[in-house]
Order: sequence, then C-alpha cells, then structure tokens
Amino acid sequence: MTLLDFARGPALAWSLYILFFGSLLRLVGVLLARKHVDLSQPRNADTLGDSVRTVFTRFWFKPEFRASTLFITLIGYAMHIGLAVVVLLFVPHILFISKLSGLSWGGLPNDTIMLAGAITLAALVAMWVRRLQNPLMQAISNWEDHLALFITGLPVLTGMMAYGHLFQDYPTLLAIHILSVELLFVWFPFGKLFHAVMWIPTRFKLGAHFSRRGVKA
Amino acid sequence: MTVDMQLFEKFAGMIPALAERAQPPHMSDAERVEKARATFLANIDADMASEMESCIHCGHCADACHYYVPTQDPKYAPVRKFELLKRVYRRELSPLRWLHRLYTEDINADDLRKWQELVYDSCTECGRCAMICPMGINIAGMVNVMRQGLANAGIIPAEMMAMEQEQGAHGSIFGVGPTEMEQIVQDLSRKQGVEIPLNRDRADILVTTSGLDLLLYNDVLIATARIMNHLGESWTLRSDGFEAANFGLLSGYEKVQKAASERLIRAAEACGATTVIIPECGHAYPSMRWDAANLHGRQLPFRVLAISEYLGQKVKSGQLKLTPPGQGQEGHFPRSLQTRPPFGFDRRAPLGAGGTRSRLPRDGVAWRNELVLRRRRGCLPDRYRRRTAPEGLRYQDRAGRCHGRRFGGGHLRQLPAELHGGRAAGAVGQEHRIPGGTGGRGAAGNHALIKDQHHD
Ligand code: SF4
Ligand code: SF4
Repeated sequence: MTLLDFARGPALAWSLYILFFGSLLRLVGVLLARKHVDLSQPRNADTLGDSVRTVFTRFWFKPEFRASTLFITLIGYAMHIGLAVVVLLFVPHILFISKLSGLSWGGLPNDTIMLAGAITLAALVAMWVRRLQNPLMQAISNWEDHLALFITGLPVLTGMMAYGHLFQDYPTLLAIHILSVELLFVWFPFGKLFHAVMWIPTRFKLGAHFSRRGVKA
Repeated sequence: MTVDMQLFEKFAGMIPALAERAQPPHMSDAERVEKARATFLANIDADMASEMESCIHCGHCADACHYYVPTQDPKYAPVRKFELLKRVYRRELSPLRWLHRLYTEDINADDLRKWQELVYDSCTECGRCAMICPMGINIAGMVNVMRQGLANAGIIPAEMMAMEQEQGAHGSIFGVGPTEMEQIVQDLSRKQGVEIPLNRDRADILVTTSGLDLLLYNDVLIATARIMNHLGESWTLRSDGFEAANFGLLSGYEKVQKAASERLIRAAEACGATTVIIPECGHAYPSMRWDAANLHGRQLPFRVLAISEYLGQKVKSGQLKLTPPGQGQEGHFPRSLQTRPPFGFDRRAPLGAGGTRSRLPRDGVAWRNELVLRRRRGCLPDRYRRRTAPEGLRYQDRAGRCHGRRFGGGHLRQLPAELHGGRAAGAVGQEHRIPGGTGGRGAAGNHALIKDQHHD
C-alpha cells in the first residue's frame, strides 16, 4: 500500500469515524448537561425569537466595539471565508465530496482558489503573530490555540504545494495533503476547532438568557 | 441631596477597619480546594458547559472590560477570570474529561488566593464582556460561580467577609438592625414631617431600603416616602424585612444571600404585599429579582421592581408628572442595572467607577484615582475619553445614581422638585462634589449614553 493509498483508504475512514463520533460525544455531552430550572418570573416568556436573533447578530460586533475589534474581525473573516472557498469550491474537492456523499455543485477557477488559499494562509499567520506578540493574547493563549492555527493552516499549505507540484513528487505531496486534512478531522472534536459547532448553541443560550431578563443581547 | 460630611468621613474611615472584624474560617488548604471544587461542580449547568466548550481565546472580551481598557493589563482579561472554573469543568464534567485530565492542571489553594483579586476586586459582574463575545459567553455568570467557590473556601476579601458575616449573623449592615431602623425612620419622619408607614400589617407595596441609606443617605428614603404618599399608594417599610443590600450575593456566600432574601420574602408575605420595591443598589435588585425565587425553591408571590423601574411605570401611566427639561438635576443609576436587567443593555455603559463602588476595595480609592488619571492622560480610546473625561475629579454620590433614565418623552430627573424636598435632584438625590475626591463619571455624562431603553 502506498502512502497515497493509505491516506485515501483506512486513514480517511478512521479519521471520518473519529470526526463524527467524537463530535457527537462532545455535543451531546454538553447539550445533555444538567439544567437549572429558573423559578424567577421571566420578563419575556417567549425567548425563541431573541435567541435565534442572537445567533446571527453575533456575526458582527456592536458599533461601540468597532475600534478595538474591526481589524481582527476582518482577519477572522478573511480566514474563515478563504477556507470555506478553498474547501467547498475547488473542483477536485467537489469531486472528492461527491464521491463520498453523492452531492455535487459548481466550483471556481483554480487561480481564484489559489488566491483564496493565500489569503487564508496570510490571515492565519497574522492571527498567529498577534497571538505571539500581543501581551494580552500571550497571557490568554495556550498550546491548544497554537495547535489549532497550525492544524488549520497545514492542509491549506500542503494543498497549495501539491497543486503547484512543488518538489515534483505529486503523489507524496497529495498524500501529505490528505493526511493533513485527516489530522484536522481527528483533532476537530477534541480541541477548540469545535467552536465551529458550538457557536450555535452557545449564542442561542445567551440570547435566551438575556431575553428572559428583558435584555437586548 | 444633603450628606452629613462628618458622618460621611467617619464612614469612610470605618471601611479599612472592617477587615479587623472579619473572622476567617479555619480550614486546611485541602479543605479549601475541596469546598471550592464542590461548589463549582454543583453550579455548572448546561449553559456554562456550553460556554466553556466554546471559548476561542480571541481576547475580544478584554476590550469591553472596564478593568482592562484603562490599564491594558492582561491579567484583567475577562476570559482569565473564570479559568479555575474552567479547569475544574474540563477535568471533572466535560464529556472529554478523560482527555482533558491528561493536560489540564488541577486547581490548588494558591490558585484560589490568586484569583481572589480577579473575581472580587477586578470584576463588577457588569456583563459588558458578554456583549462583545463572538461566541456569546456570559462571563459575569461564571465569575459569580467563582465567587461562590471562593466564598465557601473562606477566601473572601476581609472587608467583604466582615459585612457578609454581620448580615449573616445579625441581619444588619453597619449595625442597623430592626430596632435601629425603627428609631431612624421614626426620627426622620418626625424631623422631616413626612409620613412613613412603618410595620403595617397590610400593604400593597413593601418598600425596602438599606442600612447605608438609613445612616447616611436618608434623603433617599424621605424622597421615596414623599413619592409613595404623593401617589397615594398603600405601602409600608417593615423592620422585619427592610435590608435590600445583599452581601451574600456580593461575596458569593449563598447561605447569607438566601437568609437576606428570605427576610424580605417573609416581610412581604406578612403584609400581603404584591410588589416589593428595591432601592438603588446594583446587587440588591438581581438578588431579589432573579435569585431569590431559586433560593426560596418556588416562585415569589409578589413582583419585584427597582425603584427607578417603578417610577418609570408611574411616569408612563401619567400618575407622575415630570418637570420640563432643564429644571431638574441629573440622576444616575448603577451600571449593573444598565447592563443587566431591568433596563436592558446600554452598550455605551461607561467605563467608570460607578460599578466598582459596589465592592469594598482594599485599594479601591487608589485604583479609582489611577483610573481617572489614566483617562485624563488620554490612555483611553477616543470614544471612551469623550464620554468619560471628568471636568474635575468628582465623587459621585451614591444617592444620586438611581433615576437617570428616560421614559417616553421625559426623564426621571425631571420629577417635580417638591417630591424631593424642594431640591430638584432626580427623584432622590443629586450629585455631590468633593474636591480631590475619587473617580466616577459625573452623572451628567450618563444621560448622553442612554439609549435602547427597555420599557416595561
Ligand atoms: S470574547 Fe468570548 S470567546 Fe473570546 S476570549 Fe473572551 S470569552 Fe473567549
Ligand atoms: S463582567 Fe464587567 S467587570 Fe467583569 S469581566 Fe466582564 S466586563 Fe469586566
């Protein structure tokens, strides 16, 4: 079995199992945690609308916080959107997903994808430099934060290298690229990358909490 | 608002001496850690679990925190304030605890001591950080659980411990128990010529107050009485349940919190009150409005209103008329009522010392001076400087804080002067200047910030 066969075969299957069952374990464990019944008289009994609204309003900061958060928010968006474009709109990725799931859609030209990849990488580097340089970020960062950036950046970097046929050995580069994606799958349920799932229930709960008390979240 | 400055100075002088009255519990370090851990575990619920699983360490919350913004000291980052809770959660409750235990450090007694400063002296539980967090994490709620853990471990600032112990043991604050309260109220009523119904058997409204207001800021009580009488309400003050301040909530010591709220519940039930009015006090309100029923174990048979909320309703219904703009003085209300219920969040809530005054700081005066100096030196971003720069160092009188809220077309500060003793001063007081005093934004600035009101 070549490295590429391994990456495309058992490694892919196992990483997907871990991704799925690990995520399920974490999500269900959190959602099923004990709830405290609140006996105080609610200001709003029907909190659903506000809860859903909070899930979406937190996509952008409130105007008061603009000066302090604009730059890093834009970088965050550059990273997330760039990554989504690369993952979902690169034609070979679409073919790969289509083989697994049967779903298919149109992609973007390769040059555009490379540009998106470069933007993603640049944003990740900027986030990492900020984490290393800014005294506040230094104080609140731990190894998991650095690992999350690394694990996110690696598939983008290896993918761009494979596409550019750097170092000539395409099958090995491709295998490394696929393995790096699998590393992300495996780590996803266990580290902070899982925020990609948690943002929905957490924002929703905050919205419900504040709505119950009559506060605009 | 008139304040007896001699009495005020005497009071201020008493604060440092409070520490000597505290009786710290004797516990081994291991016991302290176990108590804190048990408290954390008992209080973490599904919401907190979800929050602790979500934090991305982005640091945005620091930019909302009035301890971090003026100091730029990373230790004040809100996300750090609940770290011990998170460590216990990750090791003992998280669905991934088997993994987290491998690399998440356990808590120890030194950690608890270190975090005391962060959760008591460096957080007012104002909730501002929850408004910026992209993940929607309610840090103030977790800081409160941190306080509960530390309180059960006996690691409370000594001054606060003294207050909490006095309220727990005697139900009094600054020595004002039922007998003293009756005496003060009767004296006030006689001297000011205002009827204050005391210990009525039946009343629709139970008005509560606080030892500090009775001793020092009793214009507040007189103004409240005038307004209640003016409105023709059936109301009473009761000596068996008058103290709204709750040092149990403030310190995190739940037993005392419950005992204090139970007193008010019993007094309200005894007179059949359908409404309990809470005076201006940032922690008294959430204690009664949100926590009391849960500690009591069932819904309360009355509604709980902050005094300003009650007045606002009266203004809206037309029962209270406001004087035209410009003829009144500015008022103010605690930030915790801005950023938390009942009023809805004013995102422009000031970075000021108003909220910090509700704690009993050991170095609070120095800290607030520093805060003001930093502002004056321009260490704050423009948007804050514009809104917070004091024209002189100004001490914001506690009594003047309550009523800075706009209801409909008018403002509570425009309540008719005759309702507060002929001095136009919010409903219950006005700002008092003390040259060289400390911190705090002027109340005036506050009004420019008030928007997004919540109406009942
Ligand atoms: S803003 Fe929210 S997600 Fe970001 S560090 Fe603070 S608590 Fe964590
Ligand atoms: S609740 Fe207020 S004081 Fe406490 S950490 Fe958050 S912003 Fe700072």
